[in-house]
Amino acid sequence: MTPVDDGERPVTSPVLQVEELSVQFGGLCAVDEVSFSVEPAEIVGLIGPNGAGKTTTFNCISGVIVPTEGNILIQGQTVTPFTPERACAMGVLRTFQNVRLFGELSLRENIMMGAYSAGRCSMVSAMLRLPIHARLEREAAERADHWMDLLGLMDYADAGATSLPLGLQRVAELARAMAANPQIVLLDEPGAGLNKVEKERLSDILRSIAAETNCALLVVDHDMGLVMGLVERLVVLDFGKLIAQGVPEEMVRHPDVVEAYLGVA
Amino acid sequence: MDLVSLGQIVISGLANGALYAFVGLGFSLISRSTGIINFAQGDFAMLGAVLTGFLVAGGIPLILAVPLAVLVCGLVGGGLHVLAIQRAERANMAQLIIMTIGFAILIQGAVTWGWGSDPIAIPAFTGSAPLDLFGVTILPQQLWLVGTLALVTALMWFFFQRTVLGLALRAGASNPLGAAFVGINHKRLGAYSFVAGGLLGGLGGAVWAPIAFAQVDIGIALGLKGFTAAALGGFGTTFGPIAGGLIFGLVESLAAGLISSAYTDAISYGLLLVVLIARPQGLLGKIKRGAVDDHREEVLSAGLLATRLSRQDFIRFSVAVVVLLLLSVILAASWKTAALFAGITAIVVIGMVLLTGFAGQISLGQGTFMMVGAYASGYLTLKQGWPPIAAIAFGMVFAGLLALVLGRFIFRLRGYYLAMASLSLLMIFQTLARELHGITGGPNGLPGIAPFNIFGMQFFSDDEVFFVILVATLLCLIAGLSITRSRVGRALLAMRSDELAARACGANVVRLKIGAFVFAAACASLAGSLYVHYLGIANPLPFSFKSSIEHIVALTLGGFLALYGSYFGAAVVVALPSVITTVFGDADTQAGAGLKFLLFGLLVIVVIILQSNGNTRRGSERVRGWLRSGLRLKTAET
Repeated sequence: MTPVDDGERPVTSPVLQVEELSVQFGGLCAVDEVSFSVEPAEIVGLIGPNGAGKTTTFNCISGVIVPTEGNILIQGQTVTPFTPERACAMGVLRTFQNVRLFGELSLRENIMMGAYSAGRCSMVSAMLRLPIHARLEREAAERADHWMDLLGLMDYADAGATSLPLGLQRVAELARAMAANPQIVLLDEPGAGLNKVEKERLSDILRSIAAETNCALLVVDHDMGLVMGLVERLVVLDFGKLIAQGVPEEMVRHPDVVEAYLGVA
Repeated sequence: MDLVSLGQIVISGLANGALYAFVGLGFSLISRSTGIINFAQGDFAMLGAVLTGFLVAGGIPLILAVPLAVLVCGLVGGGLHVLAIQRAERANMAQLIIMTIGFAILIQGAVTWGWGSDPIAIPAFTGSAPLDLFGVTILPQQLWLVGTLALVTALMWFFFQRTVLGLALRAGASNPLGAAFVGINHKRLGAYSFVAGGLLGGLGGAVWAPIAFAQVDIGIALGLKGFTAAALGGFGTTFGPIAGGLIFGLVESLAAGLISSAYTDAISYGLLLVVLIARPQGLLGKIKRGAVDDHREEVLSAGLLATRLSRQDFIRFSVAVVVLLLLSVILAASWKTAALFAGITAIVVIGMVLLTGFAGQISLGQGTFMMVGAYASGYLTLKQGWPPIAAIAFGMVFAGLLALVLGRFIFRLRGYYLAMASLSLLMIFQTLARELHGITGGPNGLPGIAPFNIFGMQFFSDDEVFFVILVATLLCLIAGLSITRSRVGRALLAMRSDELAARACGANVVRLKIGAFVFAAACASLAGSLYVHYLGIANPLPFSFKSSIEHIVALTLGGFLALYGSYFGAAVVVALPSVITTVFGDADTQAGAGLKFLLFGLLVIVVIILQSNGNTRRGSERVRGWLRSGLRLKTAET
């Protein structure tokens, strides 16, 4: 993967295609022939009640789980085996439900770690301080500064990342993902543990990222409040099956969705 | 080969296999309930055997001596868990495993200190008249051993399947947190499993002892072979280690009888390597497929670490250079020799800081790579007329390639397989060094290696060699600093604290681990080369498992993440024997050597307990604070 600057990346549409994805754990079918796609710069919500298969789908797209059947295409391409590092190289970045920043690194270095995929530099070239290392480090520092500046993290740059309050840690994790110049960022319950003000701030940030960088966002959450105000399209799962997709306003009135969330009246 | 001889080989193989099964059962029991690979498992068996011998020699009848020895082993196991492992609650798995290496060193040291390392003969339980089965002789004691194993197997089955405590142990092993919620105390379970591990090992050792001789040196081999039994059968299975032990005993015995007794060790440890590489889940074990392993330990953060070179690094490095140069001037001649050995050890430890501290992998066989360097230097300069620097470079490249190949296989799976793989590789290389006379000169080694020279300069006297080793350690230190203060070092630290998150950032963790291993191997090879150029002879003895112990102790004392700490750790390891000599008399006696290992073991355990509670970090910060305030006061006065 070649490093590309913000906004100048080649765009193929759609950025993510999930084709008839199925995952079985033993006899249990956690995800059952789910298909959907995400366009560039689109914010899509993946929702469903507990046990609907959201997290399993999420884990397949981020390369953590190998699906039993079906394909995941990133910009029209499949990669096998699809591992987390391959996902990153394809431009699929993620955040974690319980924020996972690196404890021994400062905030700036956490975000610089996000730019690790900008280019390959072997241990030997790092040891000998070859020009490639200096170039990649400069680029990583620039990207880190850019995102810390944009997301208002500059004041905490040299603090230990895990010592920050949770709201800032979530923003930092997002900055780390963005530093990789991703095509799509998967957000795993970004609102979990945040208060109302923090949630609104996060929504604003996410909207501006999608608008300004052309990066698509796939938000997995069961917190309807955050998702409704944020996403342009919803994909609703229930018992591993895709039951509906469309704009949020329609989805809340969709009888299957209402039934899945509230049970049969 | 006739059938009777073959039968004889099979019988003795099965008998040995039964002992390995006992040790393997302990390994799998403790690993299943605590996740820890207990390196002292073979030493429990050794302790059982030696204690039985000691008690019998003291006039206690065998029928009392055996249960007493087994009981003591159980108490030792439980005691180590309560007094050491439970005190280090926030230690990560690598630290806990190194702590069990400390247990092994402690037990070996205590036994050597108390009883020496001479073999002890123990009478058989029911006479030593062999039974005859179609011409194949069977010792009654062999029947005892196999019978005891069968009885223990039945008891364990009953315990695990039919008792509440057994169910609790299984629950705790499968999900510690969930088990805690239903009221199962994992601390107590851990202690129970260590007691059980001690009892199993002790029983196997005590019943086996009359067949051979009880002696302290068998501990390491028993540990490796018991581990092989568990690995072969599958760590996750209850009874896999029994099948694994018996199969391994048979293979070993057949290899010795049919192929070559000189290469028995090489063949049996080679089998362990093949199992670790080809089927790490064991013959009976199942592997979880489909999902990325996302087991994350809650680890005490080591505090913020720099991953970019700063002015501070240059200042620190300059201070280190000045201090080391001062040492070369002020050290008395008698200490200079010790300082040389400390420098050589420090080179190995700098590599291990990257491997163990940064990449989280434990190697117990850096001696292998030291031997590569030693014999590359010895053979190429003596027999091929190469200049030393070329031979050293060749050794480093060769050691690096060896690490690359081994690492490529071993690091495919998460876990601490490298510890055992590197130890068995060391055992194989020790055998090869003794047997391949044409290259290595056999046990006598290659004498007459010329001192190091470069550009026509000879480095002959201690002072001159000191300079060479000083430069070598500084070069390794620079390389280590350069790697850790880079994007690669950042990726290593990221991987250390959260492997999945690091992978999600695009870090190829297998490559990173291999890189650290290759660096450590090249450092060790350089150290081995310098060692033989100084002593003038390359032989296998200085690179045995005892050297691994010294490396682990030095690494632990210096701090897993502290490159500069390597000097400190190495200095303590090298200086301790001299301290023992001055305090307790001669350190070269068996008792002195035992005391040395006893103290090494204690040091490892205590330091890890302190580290895991953050004491060492707070301590070093306090010292740094004092130094800083002291300097400030002085500058204020002037």
